[in-house]
Amino acid sequence: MKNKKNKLNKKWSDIKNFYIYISPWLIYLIVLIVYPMIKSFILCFTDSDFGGKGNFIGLANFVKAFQEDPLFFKVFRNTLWYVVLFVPASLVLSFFIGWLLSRKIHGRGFFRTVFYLPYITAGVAVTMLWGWIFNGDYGLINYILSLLGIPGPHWLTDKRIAMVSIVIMCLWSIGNSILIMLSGIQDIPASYYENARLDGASTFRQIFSITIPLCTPSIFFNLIIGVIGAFQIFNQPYILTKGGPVDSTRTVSMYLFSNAFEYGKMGYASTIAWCLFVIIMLVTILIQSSSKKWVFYDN
Amino acid sequence: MTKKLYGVLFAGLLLSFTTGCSRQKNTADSSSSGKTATATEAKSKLSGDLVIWAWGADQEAKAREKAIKIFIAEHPELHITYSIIPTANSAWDQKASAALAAGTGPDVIQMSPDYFGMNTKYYRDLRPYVKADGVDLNTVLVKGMLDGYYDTDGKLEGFPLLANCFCLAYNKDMFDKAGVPYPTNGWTFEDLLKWGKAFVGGTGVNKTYAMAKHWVTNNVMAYAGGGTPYSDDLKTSHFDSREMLKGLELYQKLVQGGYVPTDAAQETMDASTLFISGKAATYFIGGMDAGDTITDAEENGINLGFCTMPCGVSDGKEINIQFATGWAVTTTAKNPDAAWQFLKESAYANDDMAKATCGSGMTSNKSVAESYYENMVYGKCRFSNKIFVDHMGITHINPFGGTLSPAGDIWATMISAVTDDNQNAAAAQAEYAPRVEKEFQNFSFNTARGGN
Repeated sequence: MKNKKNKLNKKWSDIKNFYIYISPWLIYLIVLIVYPMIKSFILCFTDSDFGGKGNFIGLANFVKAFQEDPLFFKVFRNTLWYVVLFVPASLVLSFFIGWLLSRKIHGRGFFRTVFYLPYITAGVAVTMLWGWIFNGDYGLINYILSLLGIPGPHWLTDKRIAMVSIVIMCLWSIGNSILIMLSGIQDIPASYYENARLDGASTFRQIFSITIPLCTPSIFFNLIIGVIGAFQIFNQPYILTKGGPVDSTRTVSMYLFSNAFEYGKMGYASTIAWCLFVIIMLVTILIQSSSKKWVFYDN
Repeated sequence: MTKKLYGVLFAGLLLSFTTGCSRQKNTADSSSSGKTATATEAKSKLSGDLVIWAWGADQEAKAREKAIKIFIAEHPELHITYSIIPTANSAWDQKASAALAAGTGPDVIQMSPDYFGMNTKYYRDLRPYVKADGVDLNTVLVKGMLDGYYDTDGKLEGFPLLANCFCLAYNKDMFDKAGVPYPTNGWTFEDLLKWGKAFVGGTGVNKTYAMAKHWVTNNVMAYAGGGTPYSDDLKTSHFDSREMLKGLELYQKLVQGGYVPTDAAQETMDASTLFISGKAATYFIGGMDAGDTITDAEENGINLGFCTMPCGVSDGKEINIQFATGWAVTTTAKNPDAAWQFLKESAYANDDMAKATCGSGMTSNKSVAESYYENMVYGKCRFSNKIFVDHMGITHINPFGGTLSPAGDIWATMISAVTDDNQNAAAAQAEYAPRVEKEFQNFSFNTARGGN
């Protein structure tokens, strides 16, 4: 009986200690994440301004979004277009560069640093520099093209390619994805490659039959993080194009920001935010459920 | 257990420090014995605390701080706290509005007439104070600087501090080289299309333009056709008018003809740099940056000339835009009498305060504006602020601020449609004007309808 009581006391003590140790993070979660989420959900049904106080208006904000505001669907289309362009390109590129960096080459350390550096450079300053590079009149890219006799496009003022320009800019700073891919590739036991070489497999075959399949956990991670990040793209189009030309690069985050902090329509901004949240959640669940079919773990 | 508790408390404290917000704060108990007649009067009536919030950085913030220090020195009976909140990344909007809504705002808060009633429910109506003082504001305030502070329902929600408007600066050397006569008062954008052609040329870094695209250009073009973007009572949008179409067409010709840079080109080299480097023949020069621009241009060996802003094509009226800042007394002010005293002295009742702000804009204090500010002279060309004083009375308040910024964004999209995407101006107007009309219907001062 005494033993049972002691065991129960220890169990309660363990539970208590657990919550005490995680309490700072739990407080942070509740105060800075859960509470704002609940509050913003409530704001969706009000006509609140900056101060967060407003009248209850039912589903009027959702009606406006889905039936009255032409820009609502446009910004989601623009964002989806960015995701479709950026995420696959970043996965392919980061895998390829990660694979190159895993090879035994001279100056490997130097190249690893070089490819990672853009990821840690200040976003705003770098974006402004890219504005110069993309400039249609005197940008670096069009200057180089002019030397080859090719008339450069209007990278940031042509609505057909403005978003592509932003994708190109963002692909420059995929250092973190490269690092994750590199660590995934390096985790693959060398014995697989040795056996494959003995069997006469070419480098190309080894990549597709060994490297990619065994790297799928890293690819999966980069895919999820990439999709979540891409849906929330803000800095680059905000600085480079301000959403132009003709709203072709206006993303959901930018529209949300404008409504919340420029127009003072906090209620409508919250509505947009929750719509974005739902879409990201759905896409993430879709990827997650598909992962059973294509992600291979060693265990 | 105690050790664990201390560990958790420490972690919690660390967390709270990392999530604190930044704010510069100046608190002053005035100790100077300097007095003016106004201060002497006020001293007998005022007491207690006065909390003032303002935004900004650089020159403007320094000038304002100087003025406030004068007020502090002249009011030893008040305990004044002055805080500056940065304006970058909408930090000001968020913090000020959250505090106003929560009732924790200051007694006096900086604001702008181009909010168009955005925060009006948090501001006191100042008409009773004005009436009690019995001062004819037309005799003490610069003409045109008070109008924007009245709501559409007649409430005086704020009081002016300073404002800026514009004039046209031109590069005499470029005009002489091109053999084009200097622009004169009364010019229109149709005139620019004629004489501006001579300045369009070059490629790449050597490209030259007739006019640098100042950030105010979009606002100016809203009036270029001769009309206004909306009615004075803010009830009706004029975006579907012939005048707005004319303005749009003119803008299309200017950008596509190379007279004015595209947005992308201007993003990477700002308008003043384009002008002072001799790549643009003309530039809208504002009171806020006249000194710096003239100094920089003359250092580059540019000879400058000046004339007034352009006139509307059909009505011939000068188009000038006013950017202004002022103060408001909040509805939660704990010391409204002291707050009103501060507003009065900032606006017209304290010449020393007015002179302190003249470095960053035209003071609303009529006597100081028409003497000290007007006589401020810049550069070898001896440019004086008189041109701004003379033309402030005909300015339009920035038409696309605050509540009206959604309309401004739609206007920017219309401009982009015709200048970047080469859409037909009438088609662009047909597509976007109804959206502006819809925004107007939703504005809080026009309807009690639900939804933002």
